[in-house]
Amino acid sequence: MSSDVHELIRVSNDTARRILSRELRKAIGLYYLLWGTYPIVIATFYAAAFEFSEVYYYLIQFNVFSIPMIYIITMVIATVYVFLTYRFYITAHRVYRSPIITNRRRRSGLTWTVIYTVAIIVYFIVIASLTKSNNDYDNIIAYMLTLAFAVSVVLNNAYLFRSSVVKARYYDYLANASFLILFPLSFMYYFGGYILSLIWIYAGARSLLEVISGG
Amino acid sequence: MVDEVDELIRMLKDKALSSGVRLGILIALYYIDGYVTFTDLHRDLDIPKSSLHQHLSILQEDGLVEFKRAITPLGVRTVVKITDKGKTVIKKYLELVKRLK
Repeated sequence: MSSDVHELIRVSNDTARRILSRELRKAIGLYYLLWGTYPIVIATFYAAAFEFSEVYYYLIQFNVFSIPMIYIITMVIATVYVFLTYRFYITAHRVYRSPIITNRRRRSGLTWTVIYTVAIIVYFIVIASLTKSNNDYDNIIAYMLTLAFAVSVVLNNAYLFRSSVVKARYYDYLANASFLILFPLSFMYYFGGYILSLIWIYAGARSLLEVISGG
Repeated sequence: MVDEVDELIRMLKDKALSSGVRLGILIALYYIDGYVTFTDLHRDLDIPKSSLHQHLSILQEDGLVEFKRAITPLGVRTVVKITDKGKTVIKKYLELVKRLK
């Protein structure tokens, strides 16, 4: 092939990389912002239910498969979030398939999707198991499973940055490290969830600012 | 192999694909598979607005992309999307490049 063709392909790959890396950073920013709002949405729902004591009483007392209604609603809200997250992963997966990725790993996007789906199912089981028992042994199991879920999410996020399309910034490390520590702890200390929420909103805002400022 | 090289060269001689910027925009739009705003493209590529508009007009004339005014979270913006014809062209280009690698 002539050098002109080589040059044309090089310029096209460079151009595509610039556009895709910015789009992926935007998607990551929205992903942080989305999950950053989750504890706030849940807290608002609980507060609203608590304000109307009859509603709260009904939500606690009425069980479906021995799981109180209030937890079912929490799971439904989480399902909406998971659905929106899948849109982010689809964008990331598409970018990952592009020819601009030079250090693609052997494990396919499909394998990761399966692993991630299993992790989410485990998460739902943890939520459900927490509602059934309050003894220490069950709480430890729930904590370990939640920690495993947190590790799987962080590994999945790290996988995106390894693709070299998007450079990991300090706020990415902050968001993922805080998730690993605070998410499992938030089951015992609720304030952990709110700190996590603030950190993820900050990481989301910084990511979008990076896109706008062209950093 | 020779046939594939010839086919690739012939493909890249087409006016719409003869520029690395246009080809790159088309590849990116293929993988995004959705709308991208003109403002975002301008910010990403760091080229004059008139040049970007010219590149997109050439791609539109060939029916490879479509652009329109749309409501976005930041207001009314011009958005660009790859067409089915554009997808077919890029798919073929990527297959050729893959085979040559």
